[in-house]
Amino acid sequence: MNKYERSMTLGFMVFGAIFLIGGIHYKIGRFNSPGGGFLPFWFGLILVTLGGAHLISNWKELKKKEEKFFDKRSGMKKMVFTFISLPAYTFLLSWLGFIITTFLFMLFLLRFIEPQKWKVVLIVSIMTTIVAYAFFVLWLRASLPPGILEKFLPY
Amino acid sequence: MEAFQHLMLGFGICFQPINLLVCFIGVLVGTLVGVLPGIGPVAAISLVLPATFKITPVQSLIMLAGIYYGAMYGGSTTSILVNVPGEAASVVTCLDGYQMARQGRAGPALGIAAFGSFIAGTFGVIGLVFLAPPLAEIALKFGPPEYFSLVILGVTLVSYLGGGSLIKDLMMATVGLLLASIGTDIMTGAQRFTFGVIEIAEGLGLVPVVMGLFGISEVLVNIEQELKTSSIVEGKIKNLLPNLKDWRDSKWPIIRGSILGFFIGILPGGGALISSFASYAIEKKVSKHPEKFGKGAIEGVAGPESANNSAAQAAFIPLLTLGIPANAVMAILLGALMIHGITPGPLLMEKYPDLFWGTIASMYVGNGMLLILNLPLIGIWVQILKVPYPILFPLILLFCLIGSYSINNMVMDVLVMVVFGLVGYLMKKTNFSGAPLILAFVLGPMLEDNLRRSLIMSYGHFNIFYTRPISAIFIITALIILVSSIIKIKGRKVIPIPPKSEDD
Repeated sequence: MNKYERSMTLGFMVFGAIFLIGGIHYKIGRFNSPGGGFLPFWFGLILVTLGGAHLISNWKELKKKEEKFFDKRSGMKKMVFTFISLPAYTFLLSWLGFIITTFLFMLFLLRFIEPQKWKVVLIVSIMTTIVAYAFFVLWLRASLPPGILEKFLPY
Repeated sequence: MEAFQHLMLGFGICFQPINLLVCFIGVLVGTLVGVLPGIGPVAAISLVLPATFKITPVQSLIMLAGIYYGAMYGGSTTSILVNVPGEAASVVTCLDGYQMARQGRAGPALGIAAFGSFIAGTFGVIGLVFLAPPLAEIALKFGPPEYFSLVILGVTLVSYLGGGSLIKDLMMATVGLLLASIGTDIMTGAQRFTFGVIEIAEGLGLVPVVMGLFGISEVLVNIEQELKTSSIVEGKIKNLLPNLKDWRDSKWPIIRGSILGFFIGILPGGGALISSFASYAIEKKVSKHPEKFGKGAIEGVAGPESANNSAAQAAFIPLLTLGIPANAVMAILLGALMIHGITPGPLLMEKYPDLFWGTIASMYVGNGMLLILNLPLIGIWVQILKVPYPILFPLILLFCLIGSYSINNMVMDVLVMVVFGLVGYLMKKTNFSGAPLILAFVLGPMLEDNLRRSLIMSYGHFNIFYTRPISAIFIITALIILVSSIIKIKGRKVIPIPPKSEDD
């Protein structure tokens, strides 16, 4: 076990504790008439107990020389920027509409995370946007937020 | 005879042009995800899931099942040609398959993998036809205590057979159960853990959670660690039909693999990965030339590839007869059927014979399609293998984003997916497995409902779980597993299976 695994275990124990407390709030009930808080309470308790047991049984094995969480700094940057692009896409979607947001999303990931040539970036971004629009909007009739461009297209 | 008649009904449904088309799309997508490293069947099925809500339940199940067993076929191609398993169950195929390819025998390796898969897949389907009806009949006698105990046994087995840390897997299963309690309480109608957010009043959606845990997290890990494919074995692939000697050497491994895979596949948590490793170990043990294993022995390809396909088909038995998924893929299929308003279980065969027998018949047809897709068209898959990951990953992310949004047209679903993407990434980095979590998340409502009903039935006495014979068998088996693994942990390290596969 390293310190990251320990932190994660503690995180899960906190998660379990929230359900344990929530279980009391939603009424545990009795064994012959279990209430809405019955399962969250008992399984919250089980999670906290399992987490505690895992921490105690592996405490001695805690490595003295810790390995890094990210192997390389560049890897960390790529992961963080890729991750940020996901909520960014979600918020831009209702603002700019499906077509522009999808195009910008593809362009960003293709050009700035694992840089490709501009020609490849543009071709893949445009093609993906068209195919995704045709598949989701025209075929599957998914109602994705329209933007400026969609007004000129069949919907 | 009755099974035969039912199967004919199934073929009638399966041969409808639209169903043949969805079956073909399923096995095609399955082969594709099997071939592409970095995306497994769990992630692929979760990606396709939103699209299946627009088609009928029969078509939906035919397509999703096709993806699952199709991935088992496709996975071997990458293992043999690139030495990178396309999906987890093909890890062991790398050992001898890649060596065969380096010796210029890529053709026979791919050929025997495809033929072995076909034979084993067909064996698995036949087993399914004959075993499912009696099992469903027994399951009709199940009451709430039996279902509760069965879920407990299933979750325990998945945690135990995963090969990782039992305590961590049990923690993940508990997390899954707790997540399932978010939303409206079925018995009282009260809101739990929604904190006033109306969008999660019906609970967290299966698709956003699965896409986050398996799709997004996988991409984040690959991006950070710069996934690179090794060099593909170059040169024209010839002689795809194995010669007489190859067949002689592979005959028994295929038969043994098919039987072994079938029985391991039925067990919750058994699945394709474990069966392929078990088959490899057995083949090496019974071989007259164990020293040849790892250096290009065809038995090392034929056995495991047969076992993983047979297991993939057998995994449908607990799902379709008991309503209990054997692995993460089956858990998603269960969720997909429930979204369509169908609860898999012993009554499925009676209530929806078209769905049950249509899917089984589609597996026969799908196996045939896969043989054609994987042998004459091998060149196309080799070309696809050359698509670089930097171009592939934005597509996967985009599919996840649109897919999760389009189910209910809700931004909240996307945000749930993003949050679970991050959680899944952290779990992967700290070796916590997502499979028990998803299984328990899907089974959570069933477990809670049956637990509370059982306790009401017994006036609060827990003896209801061990005084009823079937329930007692399940509970005692679960206890034996837990106790034996505690003893094992104290004694020596557990079974020599590689770290948990998310796809199994």
